[in-house]
Amino acid sequence: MRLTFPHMGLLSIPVETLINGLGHEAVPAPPTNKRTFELGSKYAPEGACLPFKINLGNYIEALERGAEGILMAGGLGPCRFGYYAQIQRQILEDLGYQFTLLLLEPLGGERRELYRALRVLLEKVAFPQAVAALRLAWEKIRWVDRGNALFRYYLPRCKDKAEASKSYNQFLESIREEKKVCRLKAHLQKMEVSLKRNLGRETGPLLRVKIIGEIYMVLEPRVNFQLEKLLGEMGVEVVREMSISQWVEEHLLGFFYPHHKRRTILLSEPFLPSFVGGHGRETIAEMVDAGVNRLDGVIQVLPFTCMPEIVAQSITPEVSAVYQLPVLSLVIDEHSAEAGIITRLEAFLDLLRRKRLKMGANSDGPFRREQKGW
Amino acid sequence: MEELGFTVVVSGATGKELINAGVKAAVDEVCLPVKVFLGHSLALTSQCDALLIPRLVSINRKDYICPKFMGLPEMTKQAVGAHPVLIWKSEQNSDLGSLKALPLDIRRNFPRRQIKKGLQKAKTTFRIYHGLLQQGLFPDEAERILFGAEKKHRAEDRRRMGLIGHPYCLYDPFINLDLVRLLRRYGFKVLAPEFFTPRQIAEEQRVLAKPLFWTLSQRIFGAFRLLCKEKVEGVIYLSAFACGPEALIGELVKKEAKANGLPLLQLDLDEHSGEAGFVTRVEAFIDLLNRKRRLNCV
Repeated sequence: MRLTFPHMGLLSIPVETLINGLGHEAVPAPPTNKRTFELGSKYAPEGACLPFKINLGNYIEALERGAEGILMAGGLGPCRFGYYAQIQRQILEDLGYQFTLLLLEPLGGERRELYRALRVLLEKVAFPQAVAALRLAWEKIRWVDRGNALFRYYLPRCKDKAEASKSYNQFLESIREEKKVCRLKAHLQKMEVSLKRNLGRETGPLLRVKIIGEIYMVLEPRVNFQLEKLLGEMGVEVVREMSISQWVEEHLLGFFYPHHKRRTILLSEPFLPSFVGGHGRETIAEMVDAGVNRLDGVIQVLPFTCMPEIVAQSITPEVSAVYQLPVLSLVIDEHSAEAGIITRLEAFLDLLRRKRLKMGANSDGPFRREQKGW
Repeated sequence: MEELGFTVVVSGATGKELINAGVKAAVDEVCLPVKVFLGHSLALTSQCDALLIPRLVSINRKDYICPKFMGLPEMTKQAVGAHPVLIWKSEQNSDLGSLKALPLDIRRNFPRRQIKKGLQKAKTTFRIYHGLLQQGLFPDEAERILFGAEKKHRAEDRRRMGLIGHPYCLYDPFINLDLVRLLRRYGFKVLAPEFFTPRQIAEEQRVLAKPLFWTLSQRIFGAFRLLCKEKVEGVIYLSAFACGPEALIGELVKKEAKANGLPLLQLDLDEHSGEAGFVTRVEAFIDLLNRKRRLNCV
């Protein structure tokens, strides 16, 4: 079957590998662009959140390219994501598209739907081959995330930013093409060598800013205006805990990796003792983590009308006051423009730099006075 | 609460100043009901020793109310500052009427039997109240009857209008700009989701490929289908601006309306809603219904 899937940052690399490895043909939607935004906001309900609209736009563009099936994840709520697929299916059917929806529901929900999807997915190849495909996809997720972390670290330190971005893109392409697990590491090393060659002279500690918020908005550079790259080029090191591999570990393999959940609960307990759906609790936990680790600031990215993030957003002032941690909340919807975002980022960074200057030129964060025995 | 010897202070009717206070205290993007809630909490802080805020996570198995309800105690804490807040928590799949749900401070300081007696009394009252709602009374009327007023008999109106939406939008005359009275003035009997029993509503969920996981949305969708069967003339759907679930449910309801050929008016409410624009739209809708009736008669 010719299968498509919604884009979310680098997710397309492993998912494409997986679909092809299972004997289907992956028809990825064209990278999210202006037309995706337009299609999505035209056909989606007005009040739906931005990821819903972009997903819908992705599907329409992929179906135009000849996809026959859509691979999508489900959920149990209370975040709206769990009901995305149902409404999207209805909208696409009303538009007259023919397709089958393969819905990967979590185990707690509708198992019939999950089994049906898995049966269709696994019907093409023998079991060992399917396992090999899964393993390759999983390793790709991990190496891509590692490469991304490396790139975030080196970008603000590089002399030639364009050159750095180029080697990063080369790395992503070679990972996308790679068919052997054992060679993935070599690509990463190659990128590291070229990034190191590009290193500029150290001029003192860089600003370190953490990005938190709704996972789709954090991970999809085409929707958050390439936030990480923008910050990197402005000479800021971007820290982010959230990644696809972390999500997979927490939600799909939670049994083997219980520490993610424990950490979230531990960190967010004093401020938000209850689960609020989506990534609301994670946002608070990551913010506390940033405060404890003395980062310079935090940027929260959320789509307009996102319910869990609004709850988190109303708690951020409290966390911010406790840890003296500046926070910038960027609410993004289909009408947001790049210029507005850049202006706000620049202003925020100016504030952070000023704060650092006030605290002393070489401080490593807002808690420096404490270290001196103040 | 009164059984335990507390004096209960309930905030008064929603008003302009109250909403303004709530809007100031809240984050920009929250929906109107949360702003109203914060307004009420702020108004109460000057009158009482502690606020009792429920954390409504879920009232049915596998269902949730909405993320904002889960974070409501924290949002309120943020808004009222240092004022003590007691959280009446209903954990996932547990019942608000159970002993465990009460705030720790109350549980520790009062004898168990007294608390149980109070809860029992509260439950009975709650059941009577719901019975009254299902007879077709509105909450304010039902409350008056509970506290001793006579049941009034209204002349049975011939024309019927459905009204769906979240309860806090439907029953607060300030938020919905007194829509119910407006409709009654036009000679409509107003039917709301709370008039149907939970079982009836659960029955209607079967048509969905995947069950909805928001209790209130289930109620809206189920009630809408029931209203279609009840042969009401039209349905008005009140939703709060920036309400998450409603953005998606609206789509389902619209499709149902199209399939059944039932006129539907969807109105978004927020703190900037002006009465004139609102009334005009409702009147235009009623005119359309009248026209449809005339054409059908001919």
